[in-house]
Amino acid sequence: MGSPLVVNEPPGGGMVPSPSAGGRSPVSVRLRASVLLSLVPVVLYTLACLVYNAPASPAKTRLATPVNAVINPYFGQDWMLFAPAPSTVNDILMMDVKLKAGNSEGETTTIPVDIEEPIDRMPRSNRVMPTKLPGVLLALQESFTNYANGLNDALKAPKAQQPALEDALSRRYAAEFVELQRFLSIRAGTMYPDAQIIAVRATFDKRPITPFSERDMHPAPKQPVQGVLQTAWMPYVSGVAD
Amino acid sequence: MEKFRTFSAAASRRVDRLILAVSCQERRLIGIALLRIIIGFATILYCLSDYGHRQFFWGPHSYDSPQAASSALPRWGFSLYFVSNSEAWFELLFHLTIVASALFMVFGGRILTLVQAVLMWSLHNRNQDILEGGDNLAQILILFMLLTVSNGYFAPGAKARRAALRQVPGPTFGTALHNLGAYLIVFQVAIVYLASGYWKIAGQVWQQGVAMYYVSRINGFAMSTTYAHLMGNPFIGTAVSYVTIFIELAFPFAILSSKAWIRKAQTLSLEGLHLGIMAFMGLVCFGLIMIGADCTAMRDEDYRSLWIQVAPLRKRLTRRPQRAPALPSGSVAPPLDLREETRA
Repeated sequence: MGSPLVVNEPPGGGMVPSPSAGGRSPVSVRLRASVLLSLVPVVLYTLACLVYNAPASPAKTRLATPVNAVINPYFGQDWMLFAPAPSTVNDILMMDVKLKAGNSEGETTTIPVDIEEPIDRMPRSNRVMPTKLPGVLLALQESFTNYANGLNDALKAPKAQQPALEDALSRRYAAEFVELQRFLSIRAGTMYPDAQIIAVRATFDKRPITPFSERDMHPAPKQPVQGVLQTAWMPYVSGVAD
Repeated sequence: MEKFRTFSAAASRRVDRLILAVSCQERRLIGIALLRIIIGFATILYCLSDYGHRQFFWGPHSYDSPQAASSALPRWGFSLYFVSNSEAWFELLFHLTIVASALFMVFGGRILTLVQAVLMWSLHNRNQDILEGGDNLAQILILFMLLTVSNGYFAPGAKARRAALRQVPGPTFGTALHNLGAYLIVFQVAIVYLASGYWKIAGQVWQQGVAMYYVSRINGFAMSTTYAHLMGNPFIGTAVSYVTIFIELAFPFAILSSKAWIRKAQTLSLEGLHLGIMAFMGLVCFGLIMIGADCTAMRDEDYRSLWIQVAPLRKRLTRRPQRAPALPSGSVAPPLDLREETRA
């Protein structure tokens, strides 16, 4: 069997016929028109893509509307990929659960459990086809860090404006709260299969990665956990697929 | 008036030359065929790696409910998963995605590319939480692949297809479309590396050479303690950080280079980088798609010359060790060089 890559080119097969000097053009009017017309969107995309990916500048701001019209929604992109600075903290998602254990009447609140670390370790059990579960936590962490930042900004506003700002923020993040509630409900159901779960609550924290300059210190310096956000109790949702 | 006529004739000739350059011969057929195979394979892997959790990620009772997920869609965004909330519809679409990806990987062609694009976009839009850079790139590249001949190589009937393409007399619009699609793919990949390299070189942590130390210690991407330990070494960590920036920034210049060895070396370096990302950071689908995208950086003639260059190695690998025939007792074995000759 011959090589799939070796091609016997016909004589002059790869050559581009040159436009005859002075004679009739080898390019028909129809071809010329269609190629030139197809070049228009290609050139537009090239320019829009260059501007879209360029760093912020006054020129980019002025061009934002037409550029976004070309790029969004099908060509939206972000190539910062661990840049300009990779994260220097590890996210922690703690969950505590309000439940009724066995036949007991009273409610019990569990101690907060780190649910992020075991999920982050899961891809190591199948390195060829690693699960995408850590991606869910990454998305939740990003959303709720933004929410916490927004909340902090709202708290800095004049007292009279605060309720309206908080309300707007809650509306904006309503879908993320539902997502978190459903996600925690599945985790709680898996962790306490025999209990009657009433409510779940999340605490988002961050722990800094040991700085490079301190990596060889003995004993290793303890990195204090920084609180980001604690949600209110959210009712348990049953019937979410595991 | 005469000056204008001369100018207009010269301009017309230039336009014709440009049109002929893009409409006479399909370019980067091999790279695009490899990209097709890899996108198809990566999509299958994307589905199968969480096959047991498919209901959790994409099902109608997922934690990311169809209502919440559809509200996160941008304007003009779509997903076939939102057409119905029935289990049967979900299972049909999900399994259809796997089958279509396999067909796309094997056969390619514009119709299967369109089917693959619709199903892949639908799956990605169903749950955007778990998307990464590779998925983003695949979404864009598959749209450009609609313009191209993606089954010119490594597909049933590819040889006949190439022969048919060569037999078409003169410049054609179909060829021009293919080449414009190929240009857009390569341009997009160049933008990925240029932007990524730019943002890295602008970052202080990357400049200090300690970025890989921090990346290797992010829990979600820490697949190996040995790798994290190596990145803690000031020389290795700095070298890996700087080499990453260098090969990313070099990409757009390498593809424009007239020297084939630069394009080949650049592509091989990037493949090495992405194999490392797959092995040590667990970003298998991302790494695969980037490898597929890098394949489009080389021209068809680069692949052909590379194939010829590695021929001795291939021969050595495929040649089976043969046993010398048993000699009748009492006879003398021929010298080694003669045996080699006999075998030949």
